[in-house]
Amino acid sequence: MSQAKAQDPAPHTREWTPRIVAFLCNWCSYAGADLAGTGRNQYPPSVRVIRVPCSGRINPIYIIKALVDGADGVMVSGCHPGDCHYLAGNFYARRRFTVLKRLLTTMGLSPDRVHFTWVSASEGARFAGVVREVTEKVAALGPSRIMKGGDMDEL
Amino acid sequence: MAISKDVMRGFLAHLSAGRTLIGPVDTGKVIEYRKASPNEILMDDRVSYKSIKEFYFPQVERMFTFSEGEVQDHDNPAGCAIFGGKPCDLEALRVMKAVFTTGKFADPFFERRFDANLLIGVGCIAKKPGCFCDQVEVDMAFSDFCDIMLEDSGEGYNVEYLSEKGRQALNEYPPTKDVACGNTRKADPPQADALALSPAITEAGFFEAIDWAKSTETCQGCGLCSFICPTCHCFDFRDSSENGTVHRYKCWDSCIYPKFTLHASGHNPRESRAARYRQRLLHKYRYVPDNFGLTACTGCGRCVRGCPVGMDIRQVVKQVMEVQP
Amino acid sequence: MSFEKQRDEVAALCKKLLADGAVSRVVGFREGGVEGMSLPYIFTDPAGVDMLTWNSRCLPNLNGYLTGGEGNTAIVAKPCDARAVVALISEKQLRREDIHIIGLVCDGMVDANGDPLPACVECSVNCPPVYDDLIDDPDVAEKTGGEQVSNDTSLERFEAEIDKCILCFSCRQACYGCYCQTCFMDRGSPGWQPTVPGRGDKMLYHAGRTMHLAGRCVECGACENACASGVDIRYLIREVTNFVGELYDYRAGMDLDARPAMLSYAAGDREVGFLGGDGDGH
Repeated sequence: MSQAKAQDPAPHTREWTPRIVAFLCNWCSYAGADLAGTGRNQYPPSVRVIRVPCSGRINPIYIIKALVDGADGVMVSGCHPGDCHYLAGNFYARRRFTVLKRLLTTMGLSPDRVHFTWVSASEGARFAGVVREVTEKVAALGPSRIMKGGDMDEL
Repeated sequence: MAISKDVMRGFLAHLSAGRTLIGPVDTGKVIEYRKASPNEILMDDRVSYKSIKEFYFPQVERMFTFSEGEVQDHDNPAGCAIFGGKPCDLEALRVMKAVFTTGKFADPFFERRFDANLLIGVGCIAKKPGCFCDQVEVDMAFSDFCDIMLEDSGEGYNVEYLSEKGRQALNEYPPTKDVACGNTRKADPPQADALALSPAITEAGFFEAIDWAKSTETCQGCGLCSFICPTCHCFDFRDSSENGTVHRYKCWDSCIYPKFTLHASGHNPRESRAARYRQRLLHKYRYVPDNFGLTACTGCGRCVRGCPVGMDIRQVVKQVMEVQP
Repeated sequence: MSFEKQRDEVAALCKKLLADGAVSRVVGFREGGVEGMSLPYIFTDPAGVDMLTWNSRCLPNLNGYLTGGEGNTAIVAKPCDARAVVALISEKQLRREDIHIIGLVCDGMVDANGDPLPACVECSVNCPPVYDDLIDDPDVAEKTGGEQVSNDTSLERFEAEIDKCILCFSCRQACYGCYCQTCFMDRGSPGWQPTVPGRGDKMLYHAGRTMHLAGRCVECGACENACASGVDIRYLIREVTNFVGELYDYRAGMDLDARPAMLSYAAGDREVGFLGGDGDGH
């Protein structure tokens, strides 16, 4: 059954780089990522960006699902508190993410697998910096083994 | 032949050299059947919260794998030696065998495990709270639907073999070489106060027989009863694909879940919890008896003990029994 | 005072409520379960109230039975049941005027062996915070705080717990807070569940459910009591509940007018564990 799970590239074929799912809000962080591109700010190609309308739209289950399905790390970014396009979406998100992070660490996940931050549309350089920092931290942990094994059909 | 429990442990140690040994283990919170060493296996009269069915019909079983132009069967299971199946579990296995292997379609996955496993049954000394094997004609101390049957005297076991597989296994271990065949012994179930539904009533008659909604109003619909039931055998197929290879799995399902009968159109023929409970009850007490001549409830009492809100299938069956044709 | 005396008072009160037509249903307990367990029962007839019982084995949380039926409903409420009613009212699932809370001062329930249940040992609320009638028991000493339990937060512990789980969802069904019409685990589109039941499935379920209950748990322990497999998954929600209490000063079901923690915010909320946030977790 373990073969059925997402496999990391075998070490001898390709150097392992972390796969990080990034949820970015449409109005600030996604534009910030765009600016990082137009501004030629270098950052590692380890993130897979998913654009969402607002950080408040991110169901915590998205993040859990990404981890379950084999992401090595997850990062979430939205507008700075007070700057939400929908006025208060990121305020609700902030409470949710704070609690989710505590839950994930209670479950025994390393706190460095999941990252939350705020990046505005004008912070291209900061976005690149955040991705570098997150990639470094996740890379230091190595491939995720979350929920590998323990399948129910082993007998 | 009477042997001590220490000799039985020796026999299990001998078995564990060649097979995966399964037996009831006290995990601190519950008793469950799992891979175990001969020394941790319980030999007292306590009973596990789940039955032995998962070693014949696992919660998740890979059936086959296919990629482009190629289908690969899942390997044959190696087979386990299962110690401590209670007579209710063994009789339940008889029901499972009938369901999975008779008629037009046989289930090879069940069959393979059935052939590969060595099953050692152990009789009960006393009824536990919630047990009602005596009401469904199951002998608490003996069943012949296994390879080796042990009747528990408290101090030791009276051992008999009931199949060639059982005889060979006992023969290989010197202290149990001379065990006799138990096929002369017959199960002797009590006959009083039986729970059974009258064949005179039509199926539709049962549908309106009692106020099902009132009788099942406290059921929470969790489906725990069907997961821990030794005879519940409904399953669902699920596929998982990865890089062009698809695995097909057979997974437990339960008629208590609303999704069980949900049609693609959105229509659900068993919309209410009461209708689903009724299905589970009638399946056990009417449909399987009609189709296979066996009652699909062996009185193990696990659903009665395990139910978070104390639903008791006996009481509902009794209400239905009072209905006149 | 004792269970018997409380029982007689409750029964008299329920009889009166039903006879007067103040309520049309009383959700309470009757005897008859195995191993001394009391069974939830919905009383609609004053004469039937003779069956009503109140003892140390009234385990299930009764909030699943409050809706449905015509007219008002009375609930024989342990402190945790009463908290759940309050939480449901603040989430607009019930209307205060439809529910008559018969609150009972409670010293905790016991398991089949007579040992106190873990959730009851940790419980710090032995008097319902909101009620219409209170059935007191002067012998129950006022609690100042439940027993503190330290959490092992290793991945090994989590894996060991979920490996026992058989995904029957009885914890969900037993929980007052799981009232979604269709649980995310049961959805076909989008299908959240990994196709094959395994650890991933269980992690998704338990983590997802705990998030849904964040700041809503009334600490009744129904999830744990319902579990036939002996999974102690309650440690997750316990940690989250304490964390929410600490950070946002909120406990579910204690106050009808308080806004649930996860449905509100403050401009100055701490960002514990955020990149560049205020520490803890980093």
